[in-house]
Amino acid sequence: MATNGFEFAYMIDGKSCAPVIRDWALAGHQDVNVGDALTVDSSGYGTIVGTATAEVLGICMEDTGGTVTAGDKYKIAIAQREQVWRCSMDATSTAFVVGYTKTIQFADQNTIDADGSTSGPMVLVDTDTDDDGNVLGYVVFNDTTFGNT
Amino acid sequence: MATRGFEFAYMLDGSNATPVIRDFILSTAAAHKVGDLMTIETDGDLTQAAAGDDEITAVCMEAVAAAAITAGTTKAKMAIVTRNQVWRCSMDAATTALVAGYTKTVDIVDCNTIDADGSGAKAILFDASGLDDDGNALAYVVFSDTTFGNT
Repeated sequence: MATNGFEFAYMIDGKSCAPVIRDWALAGHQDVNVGDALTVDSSGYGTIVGTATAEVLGICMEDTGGTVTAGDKYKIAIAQREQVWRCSMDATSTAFVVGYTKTIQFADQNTIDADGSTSGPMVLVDTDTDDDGNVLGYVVFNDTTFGNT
Repeated sequence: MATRGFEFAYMLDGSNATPVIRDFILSTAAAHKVGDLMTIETDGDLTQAAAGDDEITAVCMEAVAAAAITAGTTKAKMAIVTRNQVWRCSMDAATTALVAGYTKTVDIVDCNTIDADGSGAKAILFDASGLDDDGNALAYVVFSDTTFGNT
């Protein structure tokens, strides 16, 4: 089956480390699942990304089990530029070019847009095929909450 | 007691690395303490960071008395700052309204204290939920503008 959102793959700098997991307060009125990409709002809360969100805080590592009360904390993996994440796309093929396409967008919080690259935060590293036949994209996030200004 | 300036906490990428230490030339004959935040000057020498400095080079790892320094000649050991490192340091107040992840312009009061209510530099707040044993906020920050990481 397709990925359940974003899954950590490996470090592109060759390290053998894994993402730091920590509790993070989430924004209210959303149902968040493992693998959902999150950005940060002005209150410091993690919130589900939109299609053209540019900055990535991390990936949710804990199902909220329903609608979140603002400020409740759940485990997230902090995104870093050197991490490669894999996630299914919303189509069976993509014209994106590895290394060259640097602004890939989200279709939603747990799916990469196979043909949207206007203003997103992802750089394509590699592709494969998931067992639904969709493209499995390996990406790095070039605009992370703790890596930009 | 409060932190003595900046102390390395951990790597945000989950690795078990620690900062690289190397000698740098000091630009000023002033007392330097372990934990002082340092920035680079046009001649490549390091000086203690001040409020409003954007670019951070290192954290001093060696106490050197002012009288022991010949400006532009004397070297001291420095931990080179990179973007993946989390550093902790006391703030100048017990509370802060700065928002973790959202406030990316955290400033310092001086080279060994973070400003709890000022902004204008380029550190990103990661956590400030704890207190040091003087009762001031103990902040964890990453530096987004490092000498060996910017252009």
